[in-house]
Parts: sequence; structure tokens; C-alpha cells
Amino acid sequence: MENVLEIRNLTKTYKDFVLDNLNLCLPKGHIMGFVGENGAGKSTTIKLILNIIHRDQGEIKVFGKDNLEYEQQIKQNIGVVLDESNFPESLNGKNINSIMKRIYRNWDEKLYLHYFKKFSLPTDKEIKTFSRGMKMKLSIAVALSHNAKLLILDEPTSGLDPIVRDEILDIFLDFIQNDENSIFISTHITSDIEKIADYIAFIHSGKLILAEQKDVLQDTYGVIRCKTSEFESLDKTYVKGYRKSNFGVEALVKKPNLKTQLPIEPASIEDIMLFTIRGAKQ
Amino acid sequence: MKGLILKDLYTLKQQGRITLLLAAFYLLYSFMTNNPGMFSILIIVISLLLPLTSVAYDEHCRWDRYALSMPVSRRTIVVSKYLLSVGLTILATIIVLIANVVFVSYFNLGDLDATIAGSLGVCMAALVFNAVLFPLLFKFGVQKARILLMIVGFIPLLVVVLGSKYFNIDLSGVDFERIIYFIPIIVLVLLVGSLLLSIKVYQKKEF
Repeated sequence: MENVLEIRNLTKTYKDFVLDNLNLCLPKGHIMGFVGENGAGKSTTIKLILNIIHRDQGEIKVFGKDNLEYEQQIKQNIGVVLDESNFPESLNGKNINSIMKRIYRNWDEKLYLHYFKKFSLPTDKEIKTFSRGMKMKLSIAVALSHNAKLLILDEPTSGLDPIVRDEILDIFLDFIQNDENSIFISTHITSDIEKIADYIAFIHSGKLILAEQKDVLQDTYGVIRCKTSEFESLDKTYVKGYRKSNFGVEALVKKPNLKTQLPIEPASIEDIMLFTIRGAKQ
Repeated sequence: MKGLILKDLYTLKQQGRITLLLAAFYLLYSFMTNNPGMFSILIIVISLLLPLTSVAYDEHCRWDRYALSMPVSRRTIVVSKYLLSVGLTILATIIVLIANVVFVSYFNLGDLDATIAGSLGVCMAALVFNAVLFPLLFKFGVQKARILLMIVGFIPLLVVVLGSKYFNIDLSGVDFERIIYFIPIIVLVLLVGSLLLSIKVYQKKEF
């Protein structure tokens, strides 16, 4: 399968943070959710892909091409949404159209205005009058209006209400209907990822913890809720993390080959994230 | 490139309205006092402040990192700021030039040649100011660059004042008429050097 995004041994060192030897692949036509808590290294990774910051080591390929050597060509074909709107507040939708027409070779004015209508955004009002949700929709409209083949989204849904979030996720699902298109989306809102992602990459303290197909994760992991005595009888090699309370034990387990009579509930992405970060130490 | 400059012009549009009002007021004032000096100074100062304002806007909304996510190179971002500011300075010079020529001939204030030379001189000074300002701006950001600029601006004054006080430099032998023709070349060299330095600074920057 062809990869639209390939990250090899990517390293970036700050005084108090290291993005450590990151390896990731996103196959064409899929959505990868890049999950992790605040400060885990999600934005750092995205900035490195976009060459907004400089890497110390490693290699990044987008559409099979080196991201530094073919930077401009690649950027014509990706749509980017960062965690906040970066347009000067005194601009309006029409101004942005005129600006982008001169920046993107494939700028599609009709499509842009179509998204404005679809998102109920006013074209002649200054951005400073926009709500956070409207600003996000504006950024998404720009990202979708120049025939991008890959969307790179850095926390596009954070700080938005559930209804707007759902609307935005639907737009992403629409985009992915075309097999040529792919999405790399970072977020700490795991339910969003659960809804749309095909692949999940999970980063913690600058290190990749796992990268796997969502279905495989859901088949692999489960949650057991039981009494402490029952927990003691479990084969610990299958336990990825657990939490003890007065009422018993909650444990994240690897389902395949685990022999137990206890009921195993499906694990959510959030369970996997919480148990692997916090549960492992307890 | 065009897109970036257009974006700056849009963001400066608001400032533009206030600027026009101010300019109209000072033009009137100049007419009443028979002295175009205030008007000229105002126009040049505005032309210097507008690029600074546009960088301040960019910083405020963190435009640069977004611009860099688009097919826009770092070099293009820097060059566009220089073009904007040189363009504004030239525009300001033309306005000042016309205003002064009109004033001098209408009110019969005297030497037309000297007036034109004076206006062009101010233009050159404004360009030198830009050449010093931009590398500081890209390196340190608007807040720190402003303070540094005041310090840097103070140095020539200090040199002249201290120079004349302690070293008794005699400039009466210098042929200014001849030097004058070299000034545009010196300014151009300064600007190009400044641009290259700014690009170098900006290439290393992270957002």
C-alpha cells in the first residue's frame, strides 16, 4: 500500500522535551488519529512535517517525496488546519479568497464560497466577529478549497461544542470518500478519533506508544472489571495496566489467548490511553 | 508573494483610513502656516510605521506559522515585507515631493532644487531606517526591536555630538555636491545587505 506520509527516526530536542525517534506511516486513503495528552509532542510532530520548526534528525516523506526538498510542491497539495485561526482579525472571507487565489495554484473560488454557504459563514464580516467554531470552519474551508490530497489537522476540534465538532467530523468523512485523499489528525479528544479514524497512533512524552489499525486495537484490547481476588488470579502478562479502588479492580487486558471466565468489555481509545499512561505505574 | 503583500495591504487598510484623516489635517495645517514641514514629516513617519504595524499584526495572530504551512517560502515572506516597506517609502516620498513642490512654487518660498533634494534626502534616510529595522524585527520581534531601534537610532546622533565636541572634526572641506550622487548607491547596498541578513535570520526561526 502506498503511503502519503512517512516519518522515519524523527527527533527534535528542546530543553525540557524530546520528540524521540518517531516512526509513523499513513497509507493513502485513510484517516490517522494522532492521540496524546497536551504536551505529548503532537504539535511538534506536525510542525516538523510542515517545516515550521527544524528537525534534529530523521526523515519525513509526504506523497513519497522528501518534505524539505519538495517543500513548495508538497504544500500546494496539503490542506492545513492549526489549533487556532491565524488570520489577521480585520480580514473578511472575501479578502481571504483574494489572498489565497494568489497563493494556491489550484485555488477553487467556487468551492470556497460553497463551503462558506454550507458552514453559514458571512463573506463580508470581519473575522474578529467570528466565534471560535466559525474561525475553525473558516480554516477548514481554506484547507479544502485548493484540491488538497492530504489534510494535516492539529487539534481542529478542541474547544468546540459537540454539535460543531460533529459537523466538522462529517466534513472530514466526506473528504475521505475520495480514495485519493487522506487525513492526519491530531487531537486529545479520543471520542472524535473513535468516530472517524482508521489508524490510531498514540504518543506520550515524545515517544510513540503504539500505532495500529483501530479495528485491530479494538480486537486486541478489552477491559475487565472484577474483585481484587479475581484480579490476582489473572495472568499478568496479558494485563497492560490497571486501577485499584475500593470497589475492585479495573484492568486493561490483551484479549487474544487470555484464558479467563471474567466478562471482558470492549476498550475505548480513552481506556487504552489512560491505562497505558497512568495505569501501568500503579 | 502577491498574496502576502495583498494580505498586508488589507490589514493596513483600517490604519489607512485614520492615516488619510491625519494627513488631510496636517495638509490643512501646513497650508495655514505656509510650511509643509509638518506634513512631510508625518507622511514619512507613517510610511515607516506601517510595515512595523503589519509585523505586529502578524505576531499577534501568529500568521507566520500559518503562512509557512502554505506554499510560501521563508525567503518570500521576508522579501514581501521589504517590498511593502520600500514601496510605501517611495509612495510617501512622491507625496511629499509633490506637496513640497506645490508649496514652494505656490507660496514662492524659495529654492525649488533644495526642496526636491531635501525630500529625496528624507526618502534615503527612511530607507536606511528600514534597512536597520528589519533584521532586528525578524530577529527579536516587534517589542524588543522597537527598543533596540531607539538605541541604534541614538548612535549616529551620539557620534556626531561627541565627534564634534571632542575631536573637532572639520567638515567644511568635504565636497557634499559630489557625495550626494553616491548616496542612493550606498542606500541600495545597505538595503540589499539588510535583506540578505534578514533572510538568514528568518531561515533559522521556529514558530
